Amino acid sequence: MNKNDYIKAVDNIIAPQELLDRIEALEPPAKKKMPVWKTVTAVAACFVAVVIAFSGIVGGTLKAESEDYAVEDFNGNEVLFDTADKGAGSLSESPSVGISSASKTDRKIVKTATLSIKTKNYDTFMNGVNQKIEQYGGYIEKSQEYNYDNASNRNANMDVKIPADKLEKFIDELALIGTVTSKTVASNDITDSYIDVESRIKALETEEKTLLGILEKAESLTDVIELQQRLSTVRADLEKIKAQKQAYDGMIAYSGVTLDINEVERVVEGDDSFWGEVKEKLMNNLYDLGDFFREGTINFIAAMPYIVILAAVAVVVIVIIKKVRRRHR
Amino acid sequence: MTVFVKGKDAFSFAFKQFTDTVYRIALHNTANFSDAEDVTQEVFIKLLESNKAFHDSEHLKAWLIRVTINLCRDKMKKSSRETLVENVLPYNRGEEKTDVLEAVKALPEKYRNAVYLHYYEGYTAKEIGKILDAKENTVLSWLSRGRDALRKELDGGFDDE
Repeated sequence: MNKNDYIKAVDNIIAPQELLDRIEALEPPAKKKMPVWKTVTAVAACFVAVVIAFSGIVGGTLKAESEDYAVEDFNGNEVLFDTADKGAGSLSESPSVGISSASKTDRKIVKTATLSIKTKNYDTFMNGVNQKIEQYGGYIEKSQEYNYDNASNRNANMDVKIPADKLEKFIDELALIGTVTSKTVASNDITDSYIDVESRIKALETEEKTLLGILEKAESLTDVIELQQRLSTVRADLEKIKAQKQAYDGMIAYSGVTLDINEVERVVEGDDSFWGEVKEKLMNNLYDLGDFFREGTINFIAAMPYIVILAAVAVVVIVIIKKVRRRHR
Repeated sequence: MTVFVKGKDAFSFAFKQFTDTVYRIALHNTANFSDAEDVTQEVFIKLLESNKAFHDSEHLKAWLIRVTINLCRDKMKKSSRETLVENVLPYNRGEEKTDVLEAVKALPEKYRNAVYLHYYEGYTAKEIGKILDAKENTVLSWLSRGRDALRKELDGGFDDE
C-alpha cells in the first residue's frame, strides 16, 4: 500500500447529493430583506448624495465668504500692502512652499490659492483678471458680483481654475494690477489616494480580462449568465473608479483660485515703521475728516427741500407770534 | 490587492470548486459521515456570513481548509462531551488497518492534515505551513512522523514512489 492507494481512497470521497442540495439552498444571512433594503438604501443614498452636493456648494461659498471676512477684519484698512513696489517682494517670500518643488517630483499635488485683492480701478482690474485667465488657459468656474451702497464699493467673488504650472505666475501678475491684501497657497498631497485608484483600475481590468477568458470557455448557460453578471459589476466599478481618476487628474492639472476682489476708493501705502503708521493713521483720519465735511455738505444740500419748507413754516410762526404780541400791547 | 470573489460569488465559486475538498477534510477530522456533512454545511454558512473578499481561488481554498479544520475541532470537542461512550474506540485502535483512509484518520490531527494536504492536495510543506500557521520545518517533521506511523500500520508502508 502506498500513497496512490490513499489518493484513490480520497478520490472516492464525494460529497453526497443530499448535502450538495442542502448547501446550494443556503441563503445569505439577510437575503429576504434585500428588496426593501435595496430601495431604502437607494433612496437614502440619493438623499445623502443630494444633501452632500448641496452642502458642498453652500459650504464652499460660506467657507470662502467667512475666510474673506476674516481677512477683511484682520487687515481692516490698516494693513494694506502696495504691491506695485514692495508687495511683489513680500509675496514671493510668503509661504508658497511646495509649488515648484512638488511639480518636479512624481507626487500628485492639488494646489489651491485664496487671494483677497483691493483695487481702486475696479473695471480695469476685472478686465485685467479676465484677460489673465484667458492668457494662461484657465477658466472661471463661478463669479459673483455685488454692488453695495455706491458705485465705488463693488465686490466680486470668483472661483477660477488655472493650469497648475502657471498658478504662481498668475498670482504674481494679479499682484501687479491690484493690491493683494492676503494670500494663501495650499498644497494637498493626494499621491496615496491616486495610487490606490490606479491600482484598483489595474486590478479591475485584470479581472475583466480573466472573466472574458473564462466566458469564452464557459459551456453551460448558467455559467455564462453568472459570468456576465459578474462582468457587468466589474465594468460598472471600473467606470466609477475611472471617473474618480479623471476627477483627480482635473484637480491636479488645474489649481483652484478663489479671488475676493474689493473696490476701494483709495489704497494707502504704509509700512511697519513708526512714522509709516503715523502717516497711515493720519491720512486715514484726514480722509475721514474730509469725508465728514464732504458728506455733511452733500447731506445739507440734499436736505434743501425740507429746509426750505421748515424755514417757511418758521417764518409764518414767528410772524404770527409777533402780531399777537403787538395786539396785547 | 485584487479582489477575486466576494460574498455570494465566493460562495458559488467555492460550492462548484471546493465542496468535495471541504467534505474530504471534514471526513478526515470527524468521527462519522453525518458529522462531516454537518461541518461541510457549517463551513459554507460561515462563508456566506463572513462576506469576505478573496484575492484568488487559492486564497479562498486556504480559508476554507482552515475553517473546516477549526470547525471539525469544535465538533469533536462537543461530541466527545456529549457521547463519551461512543468515542472510546473510534478507529479500531490496535488492529492492523487494511483501509489506508482509516490509518490516516488514526493519526494525530496535525500529522493527519499535513498528510492529506501534501499527498492529496499537492501542497508543499511551506504552503501547508501557511495554511496551518506553522513553520516549514515543523510541517516537514509532521509529514515524516506521519509517514513513519503509517508505515508501521500499513502493509507496504506509505512511500513516495
